[in-house]
Amino acid sequence: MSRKAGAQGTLHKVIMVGSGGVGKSALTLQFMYDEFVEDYEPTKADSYRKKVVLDGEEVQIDILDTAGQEDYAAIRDNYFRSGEGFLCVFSITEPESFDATQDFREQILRVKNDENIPFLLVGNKSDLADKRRVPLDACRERAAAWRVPYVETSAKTRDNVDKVFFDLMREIRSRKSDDSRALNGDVRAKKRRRIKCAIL
Amino acid sequence: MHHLRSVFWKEKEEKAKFKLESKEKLKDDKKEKVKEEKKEKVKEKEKEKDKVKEKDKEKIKEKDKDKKEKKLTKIPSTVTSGVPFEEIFTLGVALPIFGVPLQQSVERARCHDDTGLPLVVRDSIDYLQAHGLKSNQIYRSEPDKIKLQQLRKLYTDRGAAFPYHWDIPVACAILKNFISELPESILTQELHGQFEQAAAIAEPQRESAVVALIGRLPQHNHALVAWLCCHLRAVLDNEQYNHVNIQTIMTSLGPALGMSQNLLAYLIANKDKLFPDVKLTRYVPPLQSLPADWIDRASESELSTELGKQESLLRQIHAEMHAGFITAARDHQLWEAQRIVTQLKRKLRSVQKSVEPTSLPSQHLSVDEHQTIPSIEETNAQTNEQTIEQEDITPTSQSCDVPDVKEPSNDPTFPVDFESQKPQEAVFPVEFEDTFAFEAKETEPESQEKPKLSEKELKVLRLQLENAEYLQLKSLLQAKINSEQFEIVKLRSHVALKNKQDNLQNKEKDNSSQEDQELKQKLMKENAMLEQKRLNLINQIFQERVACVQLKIELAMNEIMSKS
Repeated sequence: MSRKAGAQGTLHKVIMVGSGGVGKSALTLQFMYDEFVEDYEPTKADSYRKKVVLDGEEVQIDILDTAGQEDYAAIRDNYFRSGEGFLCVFSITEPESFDATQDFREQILRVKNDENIPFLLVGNKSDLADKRRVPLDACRERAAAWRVPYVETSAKTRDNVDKVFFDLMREIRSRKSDDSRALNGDVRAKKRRRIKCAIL
Repeated sequence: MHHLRSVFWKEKEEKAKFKLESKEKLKDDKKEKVKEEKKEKVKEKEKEKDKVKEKDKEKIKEKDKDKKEKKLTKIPSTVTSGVPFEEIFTLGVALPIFGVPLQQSVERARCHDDTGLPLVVRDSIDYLQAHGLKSNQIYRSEPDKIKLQQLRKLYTDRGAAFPYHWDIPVACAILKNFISELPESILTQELHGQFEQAAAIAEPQRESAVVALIGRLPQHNHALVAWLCCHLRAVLDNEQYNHVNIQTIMTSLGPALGMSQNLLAYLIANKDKLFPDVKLTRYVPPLQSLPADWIDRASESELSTELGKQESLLRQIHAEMHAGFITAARDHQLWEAQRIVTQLKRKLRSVQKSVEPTSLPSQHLSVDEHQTIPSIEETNAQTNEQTIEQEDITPTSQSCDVPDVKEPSNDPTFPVDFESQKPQEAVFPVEFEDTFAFEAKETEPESQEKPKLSEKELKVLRLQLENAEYLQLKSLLQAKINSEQFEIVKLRSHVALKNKQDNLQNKEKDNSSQEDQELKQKLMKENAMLEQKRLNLINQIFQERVACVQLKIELAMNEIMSKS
């Protein structure tokens, strides 16, 4: 299994977070299978894998769809830890879900202990513009404060669905290459130092 | 030739000794160490030579020695399946499974099906049911202590046990240990006395009394008692082969169970009435990954059984993580299990949905009088039809089904073959017969249909068999590598220790004469030669293995051909 994963290119681990009923599963299923499910059924946790082509490179994306309900918060922590990037979803028709993003953000930062973790703020249900109750400015403001991108999506019309996943994967990818560069840099620096010592 | 050489070595040794003695009499004890060391070296050499000799001479002795060597190589193989050593170490220490209440043990390491048995109990009963019922070792022979310790550690550390970890006495002993280390009777503190009393009553009332008590047992105790009684009954039913009677069992398990013979005999003899729903089935662990076609051809009940197992596994992983055991490997396992659960749920949902629309029209037809009940019946009928249809369609893609590959180890020709190969396996004697049993287990569960096999399908089948064999081999070798690495670490620490002690002695050696140098060179040459031989042997073993795999596949293919 793991050998296969290696052969099929890199694996990016994405986690969906947000309150219950904002459309995390709907976004995931739309991205995975191009389907939109009308009837709502709360998720406990679900995980999906898909092969995609990211800027000409074949990669795999693992999507973990978490529970919005607080009942499953304990399980959630275990998943947050291994996530490489997060889509923090709220519904533009529901201010409470927008408020909750603050808590999710904090929780993620606490678990990952990293301000620069790949992260997108996602306002879902953009097709319901007439029922909008979260002003666009507030969304943009919060995203700016967190220094993360803000995107509005519609799982129903598939608007921007691919975009959020691909944008996040790009962030994860650049993050990974930064990390490895930093690592290599360290190694090189060490080597250089060692050589000097030997000469001296 | 060999004799000459050994004489030569002895001479050398004497000379060296003499040299040392004639040198300044510094610290006597240290000198002795040097002597001993040299002696040991020479002795080792001689042993190795002896080995070579023996090989040339008799093959019978070889077998005995191989057995010994086998044991030796087994000892360090406590580390398995690539789990970081520290991690499994601490998990085993923090959350032990032996010597804790049954409930806890089940929560920590259980069978993920609905039996609710601790994994170690299930595995040992499974092993004995499969290999032990007709053996005269069962519940009689003393286990190899080291092997027992090793298996115990493996289960404590939640490692994967391989067939070569098991034998009949060890399986009996680990089962016995588990029971005797439980903090309370398997019949519970509260009910044990009442059981004893009930068993002493005269017949008409006895059965109802015992049945009532069994009904009051906690779920896990019920499962354990039931499985144990069913298993012991199977053992007693084979008395003509294994010569085990109730006294034998009392001698072996009595102290652990703490029951009177009367009670135990009653439970075993009446297990059909007392535990009517319990059937001993071999445990099939949750799948580690879903084969692409498995999910398509699995029936609804297979899907939901697997889903149950995966969810149980998932709960266990979460529990371990909450206890603080978080590693990359466990993270990986978590995502993997979660993905399988999601896939299974989706599939189940779609299967159930695909039933609904077809049932609707039929409902319309029978709307008038028969309302809901018949439609449900029809739905069921249709589900059946559907699954049958599916089965009809699938055989083309189903060629991978391995129809009933019987344990090749039953075939007398095989073990014999391996015996004759063994003399060449001085380096790593992996147990071939055991591997057989293991593979057979893996392939057994997937056998339901008998597809008609075309040429192409045969090819695919062969490749799949080959694949399974090689995967098996790979995991075995991986386990070996792990254990070797463990051994290397151990030896390194030994070497470090020795080096400290030897520092002074080395100084002496620096002054040593030409003869010592010669001796050194000879030894080095000898070593190089032995190394060469070793490499040749490894090469040979590898080739033999490939041949074995081919033979196994041939055998399995023949089996399949004769079936279809």
